[in-house]
Amino acid sequence: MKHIIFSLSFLFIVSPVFAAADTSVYAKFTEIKTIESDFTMYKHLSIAQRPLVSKGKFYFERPGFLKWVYTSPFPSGIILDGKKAWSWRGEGSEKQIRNISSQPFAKIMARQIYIFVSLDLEQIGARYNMEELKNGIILRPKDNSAKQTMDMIKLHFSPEQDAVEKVEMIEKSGDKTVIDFTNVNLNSHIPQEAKEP
Amino acid sequence: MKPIKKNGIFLSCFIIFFIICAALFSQIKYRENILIMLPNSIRHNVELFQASPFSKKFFIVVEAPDGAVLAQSAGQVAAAMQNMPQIRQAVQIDRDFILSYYYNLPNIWTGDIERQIKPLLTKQAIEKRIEENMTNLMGPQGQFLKDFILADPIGVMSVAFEYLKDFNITNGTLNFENGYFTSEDGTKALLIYDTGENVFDRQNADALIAALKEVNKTLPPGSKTFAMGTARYTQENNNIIAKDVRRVLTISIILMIIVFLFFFRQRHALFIYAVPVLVLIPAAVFTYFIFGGISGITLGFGSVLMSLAIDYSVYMYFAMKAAPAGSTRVSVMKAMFRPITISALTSIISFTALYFSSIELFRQICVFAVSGLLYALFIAFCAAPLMFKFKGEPEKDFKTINKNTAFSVIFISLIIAGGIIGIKFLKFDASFDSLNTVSEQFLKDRAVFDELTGKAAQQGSLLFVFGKNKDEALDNSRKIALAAGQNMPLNNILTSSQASLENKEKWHKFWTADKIKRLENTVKNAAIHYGLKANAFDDFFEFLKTAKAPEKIGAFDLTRIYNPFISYNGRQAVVHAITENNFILPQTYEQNAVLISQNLIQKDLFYSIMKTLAVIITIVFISNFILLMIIFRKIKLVLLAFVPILCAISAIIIVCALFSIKINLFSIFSIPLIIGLGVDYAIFIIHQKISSSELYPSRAVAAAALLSIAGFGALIFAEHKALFAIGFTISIGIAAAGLISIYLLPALLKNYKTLIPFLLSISLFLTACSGAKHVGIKYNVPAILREGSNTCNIQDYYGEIDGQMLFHAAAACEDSDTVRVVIMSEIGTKLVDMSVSKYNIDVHFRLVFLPKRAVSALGKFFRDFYFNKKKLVKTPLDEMKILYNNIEKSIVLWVNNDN
Repeated sequence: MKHIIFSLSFLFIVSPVFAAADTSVYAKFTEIKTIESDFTMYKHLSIAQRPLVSKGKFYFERPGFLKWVYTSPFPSGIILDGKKAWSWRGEGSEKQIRNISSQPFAKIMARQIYIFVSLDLEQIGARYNMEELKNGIILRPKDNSAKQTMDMIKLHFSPEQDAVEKVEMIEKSGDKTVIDFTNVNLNSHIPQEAKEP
Repeated sequence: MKPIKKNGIFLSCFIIFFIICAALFSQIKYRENILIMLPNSIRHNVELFQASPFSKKFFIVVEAPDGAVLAQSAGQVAAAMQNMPQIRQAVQIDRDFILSYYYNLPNIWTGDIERQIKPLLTKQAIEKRIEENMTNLMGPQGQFLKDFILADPIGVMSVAFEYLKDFNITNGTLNFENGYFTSEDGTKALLIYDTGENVFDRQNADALIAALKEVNKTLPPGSKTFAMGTARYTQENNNIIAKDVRRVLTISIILMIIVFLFFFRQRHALFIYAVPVLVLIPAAVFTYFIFGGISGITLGFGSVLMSLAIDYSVYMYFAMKAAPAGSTRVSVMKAMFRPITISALTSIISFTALYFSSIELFRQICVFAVSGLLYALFIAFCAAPLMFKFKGEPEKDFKTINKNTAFSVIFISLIIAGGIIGIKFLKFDASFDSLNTVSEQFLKDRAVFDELTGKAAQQGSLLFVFGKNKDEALDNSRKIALAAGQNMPLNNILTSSQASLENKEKWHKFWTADKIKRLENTVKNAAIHYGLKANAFDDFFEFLKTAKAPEKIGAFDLTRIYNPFISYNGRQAVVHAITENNFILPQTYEQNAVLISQNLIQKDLFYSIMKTLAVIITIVFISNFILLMIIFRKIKLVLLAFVPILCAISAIIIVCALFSIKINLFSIFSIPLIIGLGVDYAIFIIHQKISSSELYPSRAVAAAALLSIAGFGALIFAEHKALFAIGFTISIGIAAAGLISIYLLPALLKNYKTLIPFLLSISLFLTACSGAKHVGIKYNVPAILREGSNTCNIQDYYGEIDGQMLFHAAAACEDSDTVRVVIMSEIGTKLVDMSVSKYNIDVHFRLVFLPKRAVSALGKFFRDFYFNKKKLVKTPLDEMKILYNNIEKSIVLWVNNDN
């Protein structure tokens, strides 16, 4: 099976190419121009009584467009497009849009996306140790200092589709974020209105 | 012992001495620092500037076609810099820094913060904030923001961060990310590093710049990087000086060869070729040992000295060539001793006058020149006669020498008149740029840097507040800010231990147990509503109660991003960047603080130089006059000896005025040298006329002058502004002095009555010069409405003029070096409105009945009061009042102590 990954979250978009280092996989991945999917995110936080669940839609388009739309429990979202970034809260007439381009986390997300989407093996290899899983890989940050809060990132690939179906991000504190992706469409056209906040 | 054997031993010793000097010379390293070019009066301030945290920054600019490439390029540059031992640390604002800053809040807690926090404490605001926190927590940014949300669920941090924003080194024009600043368009990055104390050292500067050049080669296409800051300046100056020294020496030697071929063309005259090197090397070694170092500029000046050093041997050459049959070396030496020694003495006296300058560079040049000239004199009398041969061939003198006295008088008068008129059109350049020389590439790079930083580095002033230790310095800073009524952003972030105690007390008064309890209930209810545990924000409430950070959070350390402290002369100082241009340091804190702006230093530099120049020129004139009086014993001859000098100075003024060439520090200091050098030719010509000897041909003066011009002229090809200024000024001066001496002076020697117009010209000239230096009061100067001037505190004073007229004065700063003073009578009638600066008093309004004498006295008094307190006598009257009066005691002023 060819493992092609699109990814998620603020930290990374990853390809299984890093697990297998298979150049044919890499070639396949570079053919993907867009990704559109639904997601369900489970936040297991020590401060929460129960997992915090949110749902929404995810968009990606090369080279650097990424959009997370939360439909519940709080209508909100975030767009990263190259060096620019916006977030919003609310919907309809109550929607409040903010330019967050200068905020550090937005920049870091944009940079990470660039690294992974461009399949910069050198930079990924410089930051993570990679281990193979059955239908997936584990990335462990090489930086093990006190400043590094992430323990590992697990990527699970769908056996039916060239895409990731589940991502687990486990922090050193024990907090965990799990994201399930469903209804994944690859290389479909993303309409202009979907690129707006 | 036979004379030939004696000569052999002497020459052997002479050569051995030279070889030893050459060996020592090869070990000399140039020492370049702008401090050696500055008068002592401002050296202290410039030293402080150099000790400031800003001057120790090493700035790197990275340019790239787009944001992605920029990130890659900046990363490469940052990685390379990590390996450089000269670099201390990169600027880092990370999670730990932000949290430590937040937990430092009780130490900087003020009423202003309280006012901004209050609206955040309503139930509605808290619930809205908690919902925002939950949105963030569940979004992709949640992992980044989680710690901040837990530490501060109500948004206090955003208030605290406004103070940190005020502190942006780049005037807030750039974004900060990944450890460096980026421009809005994402194509430029600014990396800022701290460097060590030795950043001014050439080797360190070279290493840093070389490392950056290597990185440049590896950057992606379209990307480039360059450095800014002291290290770049140091390297630029050193490169240019080293290049200039090579270039100037080469051109100088070529020009002198041409002159030699034209005037000498004799094999035994080749010795003259060796004189420059024979003099230059021992003089450089001697200077090096006296000062423990030598500037490249001093060495560049050596090419000038070479031509002077040759003069004495040239005179000796022509004398021996022209000596009648039967002459011996000793007889020629005796005949030439007087004119050559006098020439040397006038030059030596002129150079010696430079030692009275407080500028180290000029003292170096003085030692270099005096030692070189003495050695040249020794060579002319002890070595040169052994090398030259008797020919018994008197030189054919120039046929074109003008014998028409009237023509000479008119021509010289015109030149001097032109000089007097030209003074009014002279332009001065007292800027630091006139001392530093940088490449075209540097100027382009600096333009990019300035655009990127909004010229933050050039604007505003630096305030150095001193204390026995850091704590006292911070405490003084707080007091100064209160007294000046000005915002000093650093005080909002760093506080003394005393201020911290007081602020914590305010914190506890604000965060009462009741208030915390109410807040806790509201936050807990909202948290539970959104699925969080009731104790999720316990750390926050503990912080409010105790004002203490959790143990895992380190103490706030601003030095991670900026170290505002310096050690200076055994004291600690905290350095504030003052952006307001109307900041005035309260007088009561002048012992503990120094306010420095580039603008003020430049003005001080200019006036300090003018003052020193006046002293030096006076010394040169008087000493030369006395020397010539001793020698000639006739006033008319002495005055005539000064005619070529007056013409030389006039010629320089005319050329500078006509071609809009700005006079800088080095042009000015060349004038005393011209006085000493120009008088040499006059002395020689006067000797020629009064002795009627064949030993003093005009051709010798022409050869000497042309050799001097060849030496000075070479400096015109120097890229460094200092060397160019010396070369340009002295070349014009020597050319004029030489031509006047050879062609016009002989005519004047025929009739001393012709001296009358010259005496008149001299007096006019001196009058004009003294008028140019006078710091005057200008009346009816329109007042300029300055932006932001109304933000400055107005200070009130009360005083008395001539023991009878009481007045009330209101003073406010217009900018960093100008104070606007409005003086009113007892009954409130406006008497005077004026702007007072250290060097100018512009009167905008004067009540017609008030005599100008009184206005002048008032203006000068306030000038002294604000800018030169040494001229005032200060007497404390009581705890509330201080009495000031000026030395003439025509005005007294009493000032409330809290002013």
